[in-house]
Amino acid sequence: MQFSEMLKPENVRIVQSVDTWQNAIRLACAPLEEGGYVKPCYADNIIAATEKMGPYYVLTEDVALVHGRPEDGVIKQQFAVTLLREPIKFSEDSFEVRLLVTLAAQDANSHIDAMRVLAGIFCDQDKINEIVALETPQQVYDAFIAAASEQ
Amino acid sequence: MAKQLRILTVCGNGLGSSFACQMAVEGVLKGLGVDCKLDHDSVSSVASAARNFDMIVAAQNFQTQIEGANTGLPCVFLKRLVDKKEIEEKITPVLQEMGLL
Repeated sequence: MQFSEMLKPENVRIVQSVDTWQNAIRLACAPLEEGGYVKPCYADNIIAATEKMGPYYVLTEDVALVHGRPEDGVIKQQFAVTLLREPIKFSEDSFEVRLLVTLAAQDANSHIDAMRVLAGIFCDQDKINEIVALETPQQVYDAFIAAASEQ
Repeated sequence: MAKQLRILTVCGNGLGSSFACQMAVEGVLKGLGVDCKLDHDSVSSVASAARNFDMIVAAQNFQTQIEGANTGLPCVFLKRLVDKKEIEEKITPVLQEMGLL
């Protein structure tokens, strides 16, 4: 599946702030829920998994790859991107996060091409800094699509 | 030709963070010139999956759980799963010990 089919412009959002990490998860899952890509229980299952395992999706400074398992409520594979103007911490000892990429995966491997694009961004601190400073959702969307075309 | 190194990256669910980590590790090993084959899995599968691998790479917060699985494999634990600098720093001594560098 092409990256542009995995990330729709309407699933990219910018939010000023969020009060709790649980609400950050709900916020990050909302576009996928509204688009029919995940069931409403997806966010709740990720919150429950976080309470059990800690924030396993915080990859580095500023970056969370929010995701659950396919059986946690995934309907169709898709990504969403939520940018927080004010960072949130998912646990006392984890990094502050502004860029939340939510993944609905149907299995362990079929999103491999999209993951390559994301890994390219996540491994590049300059690119992350550039994205979190963007002003509009369209600019954020364009930055992801541009990263995909560089692959 | 040297033997291909098999590495398993591990996270909570085995399809997101571990997948991103796998790609970061692949990039580092390619840079080091080490021939490798990687896969990703969930922390709950480590004990059974380990026999097909030579090394485990995971987030630090899974250290206790992975060490408790007694895989007998060298393990690298990361603070940042996609930080190529941290990966290289931590994986290089392990590769040297295995005689691959």
